[in-house]
Amino acid sequence: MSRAGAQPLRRARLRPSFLRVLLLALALGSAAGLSWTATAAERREPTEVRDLAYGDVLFHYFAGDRFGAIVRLEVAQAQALLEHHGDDALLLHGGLALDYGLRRRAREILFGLLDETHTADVRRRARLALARDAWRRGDPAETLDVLEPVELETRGTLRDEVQLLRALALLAVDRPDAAADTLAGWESKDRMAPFAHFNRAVALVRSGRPDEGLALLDTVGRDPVTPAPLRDRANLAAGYSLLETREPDRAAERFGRIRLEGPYATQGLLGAGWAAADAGRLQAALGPWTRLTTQPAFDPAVQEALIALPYVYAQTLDPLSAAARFEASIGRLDDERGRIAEAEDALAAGGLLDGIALLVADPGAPAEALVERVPPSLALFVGELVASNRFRGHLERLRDLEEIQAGLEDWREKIENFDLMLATREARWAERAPTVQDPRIAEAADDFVARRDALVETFEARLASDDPMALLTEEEADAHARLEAVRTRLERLPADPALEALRDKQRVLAGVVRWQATREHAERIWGARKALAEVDAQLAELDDRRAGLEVALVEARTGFEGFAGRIDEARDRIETLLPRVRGARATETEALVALAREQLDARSERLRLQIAEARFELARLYERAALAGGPTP
Amino acid sequence: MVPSRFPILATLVLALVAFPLPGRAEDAPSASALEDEVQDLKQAVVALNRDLFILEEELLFPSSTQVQVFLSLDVGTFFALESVQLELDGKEVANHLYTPREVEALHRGGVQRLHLANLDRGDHELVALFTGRGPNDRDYRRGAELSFEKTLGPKYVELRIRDSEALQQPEFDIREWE
Repeated sequence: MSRAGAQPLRRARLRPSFLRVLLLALALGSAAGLSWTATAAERREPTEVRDLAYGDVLFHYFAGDRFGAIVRLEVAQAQALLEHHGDDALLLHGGLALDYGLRRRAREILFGLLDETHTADVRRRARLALARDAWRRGDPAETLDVLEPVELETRGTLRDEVQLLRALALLAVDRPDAAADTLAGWESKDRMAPFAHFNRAVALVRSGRPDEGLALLDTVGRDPVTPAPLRDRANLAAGYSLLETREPDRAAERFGRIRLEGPYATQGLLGAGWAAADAGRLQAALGPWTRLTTQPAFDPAVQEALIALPYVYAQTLDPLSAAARFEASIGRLDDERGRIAEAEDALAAGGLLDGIALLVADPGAPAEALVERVPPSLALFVGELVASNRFRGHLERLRDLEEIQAGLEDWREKIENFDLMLATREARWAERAPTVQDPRIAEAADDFVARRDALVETFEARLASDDPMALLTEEEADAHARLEAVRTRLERLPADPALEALRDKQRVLAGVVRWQATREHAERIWGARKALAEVDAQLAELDDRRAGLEVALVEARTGFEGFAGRIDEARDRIETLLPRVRGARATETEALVALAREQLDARSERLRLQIAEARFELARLYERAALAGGPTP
Repeated sequence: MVPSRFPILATLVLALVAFPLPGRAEDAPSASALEDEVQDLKQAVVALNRDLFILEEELLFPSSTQVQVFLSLDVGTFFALESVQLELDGKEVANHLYTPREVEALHRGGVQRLHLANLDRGDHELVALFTGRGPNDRDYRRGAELSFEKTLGPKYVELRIRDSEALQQPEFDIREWE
């Protein structure tokens, strides 16, 4: 084993592409742990509610009911119940629409908030929401475009997020120098800080300043405040960078920091082997690689080690045992392909469908739960599947469609109740309408008017006589009539002094009646006029009510027809949408299965190439042995 | 081994990056026809639901008789809400048990519409009973009541749970919105 012995590995041809892809991947992945879906509604501080409907929308959103939130928001907007929240409500609408996958609607709303009629804060928040969306869709150019006018004057989380997002987008468009500059002024020390430092380190390495980048990666890789997976990642990136710059000893030291129980353990072990090999310590490379080969061959790093290990033996250590090691590795890789074939069979037999159905039916279950809900032959591969964004996208849409379908089916039942409710109201109306329209009511009303007219006529006639006795009260009229009768009877009797006292009494009483009528004459005229005016007012109100009823009757009919029309239209929309939803669910499920098949095929193809490569190396070993005339390996 | 090792290493790298990329979707689905179709469907369903909610409200809860009861929580340091029972004119009309997520939603500024009802014009009485954990994690049950007049327009009532710093106790009240 010598330095020269390590050279045949000739990894120099591998490194540039490897490193480039690795670093790019690390940079792009450094947003792990950050919430790029944050919207106006997601800010943690309590929101001041000035319209109850706005608070209701927030309640549904914060409670995890995205659909309910966006529907309630649109209802509140249609009912003009958000007057105190103005642009906040629009920002919320845009954020909710983005979150619910209504990108076109969201962009329409958020771009509408970018003009000068809105405050700088509203414009900044709208731009940030648009930038997050562009980034999530994998469009760094648009991310940069929409962030471009955003000033970094503000402090705190908003500033950090803009800065980090801008740097990530710059890295993605291959402008690492600009990305490094963007992050150079990073100030805060909150949870985003380690990610920012990591990204800056990657940007520095990629912009040709490896010393600065490696120093920063060293800091991130050691800092106990940094989340452990990010520390591992920093050390991994540093290790492969140092391999690239032919500093294997320093690389080995970085690989050695990576936790063996972390997500980067196998990549770290593989790197450690390469570092040892680069340093000419092939024996030392055997340690990590042998350790890797004891692990399941599912992991690509293990597969890589399965080929690298016999290769090292073939090159320098023990050519005689190399062939057997190649055979063993080929066997394990073959077995792995066999497992993939079994998984593909299970997939073809619908093995994923029940698991997906269960996962869709339980929105609270994490995607990883799928592993426990598929046949054992598929379970091993499902972990990789559920980690992909494409899978998560399909699953989210499937869950949304499930919720939509259930909602539409609920409405389909409820709308029958609407029909019933409307029918009940209509029946009640039909029952009462004839009463209202009864001609006897009109006749009675006409009779009231006729009686009023007669009263007026009588009153005016009596008034014209200018005789107070024409306006006697009923009691007075009765008394007056009786006194007149007494007078008549007394006049018929012969003159008799004994009757004079009665005649006097009759005259006095008749005078009292007249005196009282005369005294109260003006008041009685006023009272009669007032009473007649009241009768007029009551008759006018009666007229109004009758007219109102006529209108109500017509409007009720129109209202029933309006409701019936809206119910019918909604019912048609439900019936049109339901088959589309079912169709989309089926297509989404098919796409998910196709994605699983695609991943299995890709794995199988990679293994096929590895096996072919191993067989080629094995054939070369036999050929070399045959040419040398020595013992056959 | 060397030239042909590249695809395997590239594969390895792809596997490496597959782990933690919730932020940006390097393998996110493009704006596919399927995604567009689902987006169209969602938009149509949101619009339909909006129209149905409005129709339902107009049909079943006309504004002349409509009463809405909301619940809000301000701070909530002294009280961990578990349930609310609502009585209108002596009759229980709502009883809600809160999930931790709903309580969190209230803490973050959400306002829950607890009840929607029809009431005739005139005087009515609303009683709310709040149950949960009070100071020192003790069982806590308090009530609040409001007499109000239902007029021609819709009536909005808010049940409020607030912290009284002075008393180191929760406060419960009910207020009418204009």
